[in-house]
Order: sequence, then structure tokens, then C-alpha cells
Amino acid sequence: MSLLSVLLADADRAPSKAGDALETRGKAGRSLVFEQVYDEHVDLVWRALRRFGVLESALEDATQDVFLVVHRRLGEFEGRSSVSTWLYGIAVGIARNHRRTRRRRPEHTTEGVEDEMVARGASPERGAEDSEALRALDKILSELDPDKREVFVLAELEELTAPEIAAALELNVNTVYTRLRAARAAFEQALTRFRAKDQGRFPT
Amino acid sequence: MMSPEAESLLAKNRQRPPRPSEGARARMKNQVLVRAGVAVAATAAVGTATTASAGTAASVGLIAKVLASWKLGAVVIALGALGGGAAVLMNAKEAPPSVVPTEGRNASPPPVPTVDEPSRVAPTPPPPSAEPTTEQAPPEPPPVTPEASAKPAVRPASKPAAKPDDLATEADLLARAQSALTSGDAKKAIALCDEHAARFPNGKLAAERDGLRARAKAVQKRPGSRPNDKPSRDRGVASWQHGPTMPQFHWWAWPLLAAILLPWALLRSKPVWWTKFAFVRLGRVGPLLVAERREDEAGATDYRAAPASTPRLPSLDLGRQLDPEGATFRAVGPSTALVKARHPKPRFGRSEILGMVTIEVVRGDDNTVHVDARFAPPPGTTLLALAFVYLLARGYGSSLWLYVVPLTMAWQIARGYEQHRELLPVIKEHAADLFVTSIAEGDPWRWARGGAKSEAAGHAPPRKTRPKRAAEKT
Repeated sequence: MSLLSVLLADADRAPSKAGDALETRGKAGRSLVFEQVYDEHVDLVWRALRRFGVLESALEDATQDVFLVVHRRLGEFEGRSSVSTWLYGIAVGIARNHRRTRRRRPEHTTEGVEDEMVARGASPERGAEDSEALRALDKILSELDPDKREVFVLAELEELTAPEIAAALELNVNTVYTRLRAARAAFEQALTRFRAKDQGRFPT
Repeated sequence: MMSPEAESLLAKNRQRPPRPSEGARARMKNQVLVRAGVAVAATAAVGTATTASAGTAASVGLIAKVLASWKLGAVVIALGALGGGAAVLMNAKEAPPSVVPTEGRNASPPPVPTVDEPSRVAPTPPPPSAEPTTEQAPPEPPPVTPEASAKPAVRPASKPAAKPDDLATEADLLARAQSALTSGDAKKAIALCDEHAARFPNGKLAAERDGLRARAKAVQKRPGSRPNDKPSRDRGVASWQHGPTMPQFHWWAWPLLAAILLPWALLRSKPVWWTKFAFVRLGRVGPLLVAERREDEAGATDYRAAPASTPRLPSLDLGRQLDPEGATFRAVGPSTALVKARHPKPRFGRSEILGMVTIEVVRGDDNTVHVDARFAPPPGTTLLALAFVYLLARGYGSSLWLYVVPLTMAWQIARGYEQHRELLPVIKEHAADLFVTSIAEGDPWRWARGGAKSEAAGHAPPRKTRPKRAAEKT
């Protein structure tokens, strides 16, 4: 992902205004340093991007893209929502960008990052169990529509409230509820299909 | 509510969410700082330049804005970007990224955007900080361009151990390589990496150089997947290449398509010279009938069959072999008619419309007219052939189902030939008979020109009214 695409992805957001820094600081009520934001939230961003469907091979690039936007826009953050909600919003935009790029240039997934990630389990059994759950979730999530997937991930996995999701995705709260309901139903169906395939049976 | 199974799966993923490894985390942080370092450097450069020229914070902000809108400002920003970028690279490797080395200053604020230090926006002479929101800096730092990066770097600091010149040059080279790769010029990026390797074999940015070169080589091998690739003939192919064994059809598919389309278009247009050529290529034995143009004493044009060159056609029993009512003639060219016929034999099915036979009427030399018929594959076959070539060109060649298309095509052609082998002579005779009848009626081109269903004289009810043109002629 190039810097240009990051700029384009972020172009539809609010334009920057000189002199917002002091006002922003007053509204936010606390100071924000980029490094602190990065250290505290890099796991969250990385995890969210992964669950939003960014490929393992592009995950690091996407995370960098998110924090590049953060680096550029940190001074404009007004503190009306939490930092994590703001980051989720940026991550959603970057993940959409990556999905579009992937549609144009399909590529193979790589398992290296996942292996590295899964290998950190406490015990081999636990690691295998985690790996299995992770793969199952990835497979099931991949069957959801992007819109439903975003809402579902934020609600069920990241445990955001509906107003927070609405703020992150710039949606109406009622739209969030509607999408969440539909996403849950789709998730159940995908889970049923996954289990049937996993056990060698096919739903009739 | 969700099912217990779904809740269990979600709970597992919530309790032990995936996390990046420590190495990946540090790598990403370094990369973000390096990539953001361009912006930091630009801001710092503006600060430095304006501080040196003005000396007060107010004038710093004003001059920075003025400079940013002028070309001079762009040059200063570019120069500062190189120096500042190199400095950030040094910081990322050697020390916490809190110092942007500039001349004449021992310590500078960290090159990260902060909103908690009012002293940086105070009217006192400000340090060249990295704040993107302070007044002395433009709100959006300009993106680095290859031209800007190509400028000589500003000496960033006076640390002898760090060799800032070398580092700045290294950063400059790699920035240009990155720009080249981003713009799709992988060859230039590799050349710049090679230049870096030759000048700085053990440089501080050797690892970045190797990574950049690997990416550039990967892009070079996959021309359709390069970043910001412009639409080209390779684009569609590459987007469908899912495997390394994918055959490379693209370079010859389009000439092949043209080689098929051009004759097809010519055949459709049916110029006289082309139909003659096609007859030779298709192995035709020659004209079926030759009519001779004559003029009588009154100057009227007449056509007569030339008995010397035309064997007398046997009498046709169209009712037995060819349904005259089902035979239609449609003019498709100045001297071409398309015949559609129904085969009456049960084994082909009475209601089935068979493939077409093209009747050619060619004005020959010496006042002769040649009538011929040839087999034409069903129109669906042509479309299938075009679809097949198109899909090959798009890179679908690895899909087995695609080969159903040529198999179907071959079956259709074979079936059509088998049917037409019996039908063709009948149609020829029918057409020849029709043409002779037309000659006798004084308008040999009537059926070819009319485009409507034409009756075979003697086998169909005679017209009650003659065609308008024939009536005028007579």
C-alpha cells in the first residue's frame, strides 16, 4: 500500500485546519503522543485489520498505513470519541482499500505470519486449539459481506457498543443494529456450513 | 441471541485474540516512523529555514506559509526532507526518535506529532519540531517526489560516528528507488538499489535496500500486479493468473484474435475477390453454373445459361429431399444470399433448422455469372470460437471447463458437415435452378437483392404480381 493510496483513502475525511492543535488539546483534555498511541493500540489495529479481512501478507502494510494516518491526523483528533474508536474507523477505511486492491490484484495468502502468531501459545495443545478457533473464525468471517463483517467484528469480537460502532463507521445507530442482526444470522449459517464441511457432512 | 457454539467460538477468539509478534511490532513501528519521517523532515526544514531568516516565531509561521506556496518553498522543503529523513532514519536505528539533528542545535523535540506542549507554539523562537498542526508548519506536508528526493541532501547533524552525508545519500537513493517502484518502474528501482549496493555495500540501510530490491524484482516478474499499474494489455491477463503454471497467452492472443476476426469480417462483407479466394481455400471445385450475359438487337440485356460450361442439372424432387417452403434466402451481400433449410428426414428432426449454406453469385469475366454454394458453419460456432479465443486471451486457459467450448464447436462443425454433405447438393441445385429461373424472368439478381423468402419457380406457386423493378425493366 503506497502512501498515495493512504492519502486517497483519507481524503474524504474532514480537511485539516491550521491551529486546531490547541483547541483539540482542550477538548481532548489530555495529551496524545504518537508513540504512546502506537504502543497502546498497535495490537488492536493489527487484530482489527486481520478480522476485517486484510490478508496476512498485507497486514503489516495495512497497519503501517493506519498509523501513518494517525501520525498525520493526531493533531486533529478532537476527543469526541475514544482513541480506539477513532482507530477502528481508520482501520475500516484502510481495510476497504486493501479489499479493493486485492480485487484488482488477487494474490495468494501466506501462512507465515499466522504460524508465527499461533506459535506463541502457552502449550502445544492450547496453541493448536487457538489456531483451530482462529482458522474457523477466519473462514466463517470470510463468508460474510464486508458491511456485515465490519459491524459483527466490532460488536462481537471487539465488544464495542452500537453508538461506538456507529461513530467508527459513520453510520446511523439503527443501521448498526440492523446490520448486526443480519450479520449474526449470516454468521450462524456460515458456522453451520463450516461444521458440516468440517465433519465431512454436507447440509441437505 | 447466538447459538452456544457460536458464542463459544467467539469467546475463544475474544479471550486469546491474535497479536502480532514482537518482531513484527518493532518492524512496523520502524517502518511507520521512516515513512512518516518524510513529513517530519519537511516540517523541520521549514522551521529551520525560516528560523534562520526571520528569527521570530511569528515571522517563522508567515514565511513558512509564503514559502510553501512558492517554488522556492518547495525546494527548501525538498532539501529539508532529505536531511530530516536521514536524521529520522538515524534516530530510528540508534536512539529513541526524539531528536531531529539540525545545525546549530544540540537537542530538538521528538519528531512525533504532539498536542500537549504549548511551548512549541509559543511566540518564542520555536525549535524545528515535527508538529503537523503548529502554525509554523504547513498543515499537510508535501509528499516526496522523485524530483524532490533527487536534490542534494542537507547536512543533518555533526555527529562524526553517524556519517550523515553517507546516510543522507543512502536515504536519497532508497527514496528514489521507492518512488520509482511506487510509480511502477521496477527496473529503475532495481537500478537504484544496485547503485546503492555498489556505493554502500555495508551501508546502514542495506537491509532496507535488499527488501526494496526483492519487492521490485517481484513486481518486475508480475507486470500486472505492480503498484499503480496503468491499464494495459497485460493487466487483464495478470489479474487472472492464479498460478505459476498459467500459460502466457497474452502476447499472441490478440494477434490471433485479429487473424480470426479480420477474415471473418471480410467474409461477412463478401467482396467478389474474397469469395473467389475463399472458394479456393475451402476446396471448392468450381462454379456450379455459368450464365452468359447477352444483348439482343434492341440493346436489352439478357442472361442465358451457358450450356457448354454448365452440366444440365438433374430434375429436382424438392418435395422429397428439401422442403421448398422451409428454404429461405436472405441477401447478405451484393452478390450473396444465405440459405436456411430444413431437412425433412426424420433423423435430423423436421423442425430443426440446420446450418446455413451460402449461395454465391459472382459476376465473372466475359459476361458470365457464377453461382456457387458452400457450407457455412452455424452462426453459434463462430460466436463460440470468438468466445474461446477471448477467454484464452483473458487467461482462463487453466480452467478445464473452458475446453468444453472447442469440443462443442468441433462437434457442431462435424455434425453440420455431415448434414450438409447430403443437403448441399440439393441446395446447390435448388439455387441454380432458382437462378436460371431468375435469368429467364429477366432479373437474375432478384433473389439476391430482395432478401425475402424466395420461391423456386416451378416448385412454388407463381407470383401474382411481378416485382416492381422487374416490372419497370420490362
